[in-house]
Amino acid sequence: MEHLYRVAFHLAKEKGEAQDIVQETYARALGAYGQFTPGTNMKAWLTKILYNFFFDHFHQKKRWVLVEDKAGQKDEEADYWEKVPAENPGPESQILLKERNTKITDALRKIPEEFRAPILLVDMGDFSYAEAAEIISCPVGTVRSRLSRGRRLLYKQLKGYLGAEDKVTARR
Amino acid sequence: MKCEEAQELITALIDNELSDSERSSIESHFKGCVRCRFVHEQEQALKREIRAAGASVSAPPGLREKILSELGIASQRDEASKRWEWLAWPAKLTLRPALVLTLLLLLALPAIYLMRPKGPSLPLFALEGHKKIVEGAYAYAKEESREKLKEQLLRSVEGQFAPMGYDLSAVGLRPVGGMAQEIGGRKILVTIYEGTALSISCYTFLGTEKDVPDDATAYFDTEKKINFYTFSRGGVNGVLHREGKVICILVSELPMEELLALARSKV
Repeated sequence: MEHLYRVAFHLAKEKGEAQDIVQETYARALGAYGQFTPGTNMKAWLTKILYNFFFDHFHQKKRWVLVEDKAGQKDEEADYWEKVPAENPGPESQILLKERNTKITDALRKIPEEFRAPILLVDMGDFSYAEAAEIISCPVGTVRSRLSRGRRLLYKQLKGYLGAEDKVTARR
Repeated sequence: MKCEEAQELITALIDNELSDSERSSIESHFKGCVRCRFVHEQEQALKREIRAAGASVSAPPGLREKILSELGIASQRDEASKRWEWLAWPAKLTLRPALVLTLLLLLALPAIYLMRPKGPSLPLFALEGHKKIVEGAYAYAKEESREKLKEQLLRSVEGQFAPMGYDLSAVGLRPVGGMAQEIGGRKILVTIYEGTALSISCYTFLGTEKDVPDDATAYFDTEKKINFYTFSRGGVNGVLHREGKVICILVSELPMEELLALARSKV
């Protein structure tokens, strides 16, 4: 259930909505039991139900915050990884960690759903590309390209919050 | 290979989703491209951060109970659920035990596992104990009157709890005796039922569903709103359920389905 809630939480606008989505997922799973093949991945099956429900009933109403992501766009793409501030943020306290997690959550909500979903499934849900493709009903290659694009978009959103320490380490 | 072309391969490399030839290509590119090696490290770090942010989100405490409640009363959906009734609704809900069970396991088992008590497993002890009873290795007090047997056993635990009483006459079994045991500081009452070619031991003790064995299979009885757990060792089957603070386990060589039906008949 934690996994489903996390996916719902990052797809939905608010916590209450996420709870409703998870609740509805379980109710629908019972209603659609004939579609589940025993011995197959139930986590993936439940996630697909959740995603379909979200996509069908929330997606079109949602107003995503637009980010620059036009195909072939050259602006910052070539050097976006280098635009990380060089200063080291210092030792992390629990508060800072919480702040970072909040920043990532906020940043995720700002990228389009088509790029966000693969991140939620692969990075948070530990699904393979094939499983993620099945859940969101697209080819495996699309998962790979959207994931790649999505991570870059996310990184742009997070400039200034992530990577400084890693960058220092990487250059040693 | 151009750096732009390497981007997707870097992503898939991090996720261990590259074919051998793709892996060779990107590794070859890395040898001559400091920037892409750096991008690889940065994207790896980002993935770690995303995973950590995901793990920091937990479902609200009441949600699990809310869903369990809804699964148990599938036809009487609560207010939160009714909000979606305007949507196209699939076929009328019908409960299939195996699916309900699996969903319940997904919901409930992690919590049960984390709260598992330390010390010997009483359910597994019960399976072993039944074997010894059948083999005649235990000397137990003979008593064929259900009422008297219950009274004696209740006294042996100073009235803390009563043995679970079954009427198994329908399957040709009658109570023949009982005993009190103590394992890991916990008291157990055993009632022994026998028939012509079969015996069933009923173990009763104070406990919670934390006592359920790791490998038990759970069945949620939607009518009675309780869980039954089945488990076996060496041809001996056990069915556990909880009534308040008391755990009851029926143990027998009887096929699991029949033993489960007997356990459900009492509650």
